[in-house]
Amino acid sequence: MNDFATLRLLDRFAPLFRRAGIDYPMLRLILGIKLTMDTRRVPTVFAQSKVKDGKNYFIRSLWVYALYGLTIIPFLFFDDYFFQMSVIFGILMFILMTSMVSDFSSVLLDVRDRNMMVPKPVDQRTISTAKMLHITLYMSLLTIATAGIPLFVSLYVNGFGFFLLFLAELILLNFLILMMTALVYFAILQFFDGEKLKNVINFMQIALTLGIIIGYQLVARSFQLTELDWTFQPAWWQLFTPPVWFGALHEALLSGERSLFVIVLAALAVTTPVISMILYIKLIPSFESSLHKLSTVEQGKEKRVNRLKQAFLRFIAPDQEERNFMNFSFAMMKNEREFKLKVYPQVGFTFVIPFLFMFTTTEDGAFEALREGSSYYLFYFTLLVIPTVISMVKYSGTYKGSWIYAAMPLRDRVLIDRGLTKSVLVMFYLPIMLILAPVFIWIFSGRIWLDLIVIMATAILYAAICTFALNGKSLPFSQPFSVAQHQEGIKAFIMMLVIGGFCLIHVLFKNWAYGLEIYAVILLIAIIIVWTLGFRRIRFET
Amino acid sequence: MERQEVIRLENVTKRFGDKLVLENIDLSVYEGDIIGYIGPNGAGKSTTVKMMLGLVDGYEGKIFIFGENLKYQDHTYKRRIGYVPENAELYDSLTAQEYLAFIAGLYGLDEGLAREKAYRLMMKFEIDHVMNARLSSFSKGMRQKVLIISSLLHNPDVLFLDEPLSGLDANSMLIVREILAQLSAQGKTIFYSSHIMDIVEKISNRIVLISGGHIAADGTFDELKEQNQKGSLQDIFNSLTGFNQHKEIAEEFVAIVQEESA
Repeated sequence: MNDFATLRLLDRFAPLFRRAGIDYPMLRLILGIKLTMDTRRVPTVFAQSKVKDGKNYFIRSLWVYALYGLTIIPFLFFDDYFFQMSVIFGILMFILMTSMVSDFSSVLLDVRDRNMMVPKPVDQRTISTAKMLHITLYMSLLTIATAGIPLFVSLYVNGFGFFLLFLAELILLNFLILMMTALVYFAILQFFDGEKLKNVINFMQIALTLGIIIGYQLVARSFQLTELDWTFQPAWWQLFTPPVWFGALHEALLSGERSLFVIVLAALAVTTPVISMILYIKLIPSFESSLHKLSTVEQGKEKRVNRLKQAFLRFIAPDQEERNFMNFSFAMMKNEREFKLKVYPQVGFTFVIPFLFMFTTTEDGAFEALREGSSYYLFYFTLLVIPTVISMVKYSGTYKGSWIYAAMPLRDRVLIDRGLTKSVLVMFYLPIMLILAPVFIWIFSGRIWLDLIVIMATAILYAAICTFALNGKSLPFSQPFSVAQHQEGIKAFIMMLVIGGFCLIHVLFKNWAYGLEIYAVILLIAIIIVWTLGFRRIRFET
Repeated sequence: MERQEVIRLENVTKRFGDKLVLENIDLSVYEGDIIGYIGPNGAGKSTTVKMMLGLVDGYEGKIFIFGENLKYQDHTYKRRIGYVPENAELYDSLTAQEYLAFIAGLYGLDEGLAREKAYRLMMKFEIDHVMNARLSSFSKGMRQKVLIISSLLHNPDVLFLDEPLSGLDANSMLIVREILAQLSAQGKTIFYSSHIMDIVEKISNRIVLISGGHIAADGTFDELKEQNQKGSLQDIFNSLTGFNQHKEIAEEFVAIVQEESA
């Protein structure tokens, strides 16, 4: 377990760690064990079968990032350093930061390791450094996967100097993302306690995700196309958009731009990561000791029974046992910290994506043109939240509790899956729909009501399909989380493409007279079949 | 022969928020002590142990370990401490051998030697055949044995054990009890927390009962018997924690169980 290539690479930096007062052999030991565990999937309560040391699941999902990275390449052919690098770093920061916030927050906020390691004679700084390096390693792999190909293309297209600077900036960007996220959490841990703290963290995640999206918009708006040339429009808020800093750094070093504002921006690109790193190292001890706040148990408030909610649940799940599973799923999804850490950023995403596309496509067009148009198909993006959540529900921090499935006198396995799927729809899709549907009707007027109903019906059908495709036979909350499982990669990706397919069918039917009405009826029948027979069949065949 | 003081708590008070968990605790522990550390749930037993291990900080008063104030010590004092927490989490995806090698590494032991020692200890506990199996497949008793080994690999001077016998079969319990007695005879100090009074009564040579954040009793079993005029530790425990209605509560409980469910 000491033979990871990454560890051997790290060995070369051993003197550096020693000089920083870190117990290097201990650091190596901890990282080694972490990496060993990442390659393993703990067998669940039901599948006790021997699990072989597998490949790291994280590494397997990296190809998706390579695909994302390809979108950067066209920008390498622009002739303006400032513009191209700002956009490239906008895209990179977008991809890496979202991943950091949703995938690695749970590692950053992990309390289990503390209980495990602190009683042992290892000093706190070594433990924290190991944790940071563990995340850094994965972030670096992500960065290499995303930016690797563009980086080499830039060597040929833009020359050696460009390549080197790009590489250095990627390293700075990584530091920046890591440290900023850590510092944001640190601030939250300082100011909040108990239950409120947990809510604020999820809220912050959504806010970070929205911030990334808005930041990306700002980057795009920093440049204006004049006479076939992108010219930079200085504005105060560029002081807060890191991608523009990196663009400025390129501009300042490679084309010799020396205006004060550009120099300031370029300096920020270098100093901010360094300063935040120093700050982080100084704050590590208090960060770690305030982490224990996350594990404190609070006496829960007694919850009043909401009659309206009860009636609604009775309506959508008349079967008492199924409703029971719905309530169980609600409770689990509400309380599972890691689950929320991974899912909530995506929920934030779903709210904004439709509008993001609306505004980028109507850059010059008036609002009127938008209202007359058919951008309401963007409502299909709300479906994105469904595979994200459903691919996560089989995991739980307390997966061992799943022995109850085996122990209880369960009438019908189907009830679990159906209850779960319904609860996901109610908890995550319903609120999004209730908020976004009125907004859409306000923008596009009442003429789209049937379209929206079709999309909602699609969501119900789609949720069932997602449950079959993404969860298969696995029971909800029955497998442990691990860093390495990352996202469900390929399957979830394909399920997202399925949304596009649904949208296409919708467009086709819309071309015929009464096509949409017919489609709605077809969907309704499909829902009935899939939600009754479908759930049953798929269980018993696989 | 003068026995050395190993741990001293002076006026230790600990709050969680507004809740007072420990109030002005004074306690001296000497080498060779096997302290039966008992008290009702939530009395502050594990908090005391966690403070001594650096898992919980922010207390008032002073804690001395091996004669040094904990506040001014670095992590190295932990090399002389072994710890078996209650409901300990293990890294389930590791094999027993990997896990023990890792823990030994954390204690700074040589890898080869530690591996050999771990293997021999596992043989004594008759779990050597599962050395290369994942911990997730272990039974509760097997996990407990791994935990006990992991706390002893580095030959510590002080042992904190929280329900260390849980899950062990009767024969293994006998072995562990004997191990503790022999370790204490060698001058090791053992902090033994448990809720099973008969075992505490037999294992420990000194009993500390903590209740409501205070030390309610401290002495040998015989001393406590004399002071309280009771025959067993269970009775002493009940009387000191002011509990005498177990029968009534049980009756009511059973009555509720037997109610017709609608």
